[in-house]
Amino acid sequence: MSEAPSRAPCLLLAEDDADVAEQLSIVLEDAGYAVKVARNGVEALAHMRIGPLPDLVLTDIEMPLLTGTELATRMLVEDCGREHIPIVVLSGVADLEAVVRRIGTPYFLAKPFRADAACALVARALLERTPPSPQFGAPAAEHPAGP
Amino acid sequence: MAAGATGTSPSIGRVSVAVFSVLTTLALVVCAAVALLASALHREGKLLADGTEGVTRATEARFALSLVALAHSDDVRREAERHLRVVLQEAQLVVDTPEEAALLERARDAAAAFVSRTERGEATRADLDDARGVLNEFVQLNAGQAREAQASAARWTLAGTVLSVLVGGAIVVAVLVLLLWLRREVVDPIRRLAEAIDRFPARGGRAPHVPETGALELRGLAAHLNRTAQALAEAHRARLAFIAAVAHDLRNPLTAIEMSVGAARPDAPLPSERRLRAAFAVIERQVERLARMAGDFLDATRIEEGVLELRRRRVDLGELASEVAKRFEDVLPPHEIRLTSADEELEVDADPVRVEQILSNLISNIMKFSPPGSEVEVTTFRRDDAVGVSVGNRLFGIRRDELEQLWEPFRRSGSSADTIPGVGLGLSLVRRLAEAHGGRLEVDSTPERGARFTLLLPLAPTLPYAVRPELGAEGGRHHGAQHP
Repeated sequence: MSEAPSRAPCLLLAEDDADVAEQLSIVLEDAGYAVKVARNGVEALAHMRIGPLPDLVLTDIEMPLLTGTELATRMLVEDCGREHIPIVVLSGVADLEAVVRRIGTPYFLAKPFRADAACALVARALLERTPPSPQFGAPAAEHPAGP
Repeated sequence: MAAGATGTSPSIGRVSVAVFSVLTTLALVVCAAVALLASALHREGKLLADGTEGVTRATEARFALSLVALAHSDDVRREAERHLRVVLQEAQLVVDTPEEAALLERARDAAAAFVSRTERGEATRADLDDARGVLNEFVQLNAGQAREAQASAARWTLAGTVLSVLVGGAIVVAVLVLLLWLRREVVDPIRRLAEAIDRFPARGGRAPHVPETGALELRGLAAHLNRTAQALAEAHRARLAFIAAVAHDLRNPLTAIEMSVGAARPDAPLPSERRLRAAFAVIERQVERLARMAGDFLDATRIEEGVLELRRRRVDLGELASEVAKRFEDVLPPHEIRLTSADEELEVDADPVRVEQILSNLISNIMKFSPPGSEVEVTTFRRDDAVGVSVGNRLFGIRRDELEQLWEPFRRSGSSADTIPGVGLGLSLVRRLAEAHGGRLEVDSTPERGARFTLLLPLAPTLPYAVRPELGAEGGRHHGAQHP
């Protein structure tokens, strides 16, 4: 897991908004990453099942068919090495911090965000590689006590 | 304050009637008692006066008798005799009983006998004693009668006093009980109601709850207030959710614009022309999307307020459906739209712009939950007096929780269908639009059999061929003024 990849780091972006997905993947590609785009959680899972595992998953929360939260849970439940992939949450949901706490990932960015902020967060996540550690049984709609 | 019987406390109306009845009864009893007491005291008073008068007259008669017996001259004796007759006649006026009358008769006879004997000079001491004895009996009888009347009057007075104390006590107790009841079952509940109203509007979306206690009317009022508070809190929550949804939906276009603008940062070299053009195309699309959202937002507000004006016109629903379906051909991610049209004309009196919004919303919702490349069916049909368009897929049902989100306006859409008007309205407003046309919206979704939305509108009435203009009779009447 910790071997240094000689190739460009591979990112999987799950985002249902076509324009956001397109522009963000261009930004990330410019920053030197290889980006694969999935339009919802189901597509993202399919990518991970058939292709090589990505180094990092970036996901929106509200997507049709399978949401970002469900995607994170499925990655954990299916337990094929996918559970060790760090997850970056990019979303505009109002209770983002509560959602992120449930997924258990330290990496998240509220929409709208700047391109360089996204690149910096991706770089940090790839450096630390902290996998999600979900808090099971965490209250569903709890408001965070602080930032 | 014990809350013992608060749940079953009677109504204020019933308590008022009971209190009024009790007070009226007490007042009637008091009136009757006062009248009875007055008449009894009057009777006893008369008996007392008569007794006293009788005693006086008998005493005077006795004195006159002695004067008759002792008189030295005829003048004095005659004067005494005359006085005796007058006094005995006056005594007749205060006779109340037959026994008394008989006794007075006897006294008169005895006195007359004594007087006549005296005139003849035959009177003896025994004759005088006889007449005085009868008068003494009369005095005794009258004195007894007076004492009896006095005792009777005293009894009546005692009865009156007891009755006043009882009635007064009953009134005091009744008023105390009423005051306590009013405080516990009326005043306290009203105070709690007022406090609850003061606490309104609730913070944090929680409606204040008033305990439903007290008199029947107040329990009803509290229940009504609780229901209203609940409804208002729900409306408040819905409004907040609506605003949150709008804010959320603004974030995706803003993110796309932010990313695109990032292509030409002042501190970095410009990218290729192709890249710049792509970025500007995204900005253009997203600005269009924001403008469309502003339009939908305004429409949603108008529909919600019920002030949306329908510009009805006779249109063919099949044509409208095919136009809207065509608009989705270029939308990403791509879907195969299969349009099946009815063989006949499906004429409706409807506002074509609003019907297009309805259909766009239905198609975009179905597309959202159908994987790219899958088939979306758009079918127009006639069913009895209604015409309809159904939009659906065959395999991909919408989960219940996802379906619930579709009813709210501006829940995320996230495809390029966002640039088509009406997409953000939400199914509840779409249904409102359909109902404003006299139609309805049917939703059917099962995980195995797919999802299907059906819009049904009333078929336009058929007009005689000769008078069938472009505008229908019904639609045209409203329409002429709105569409110059």
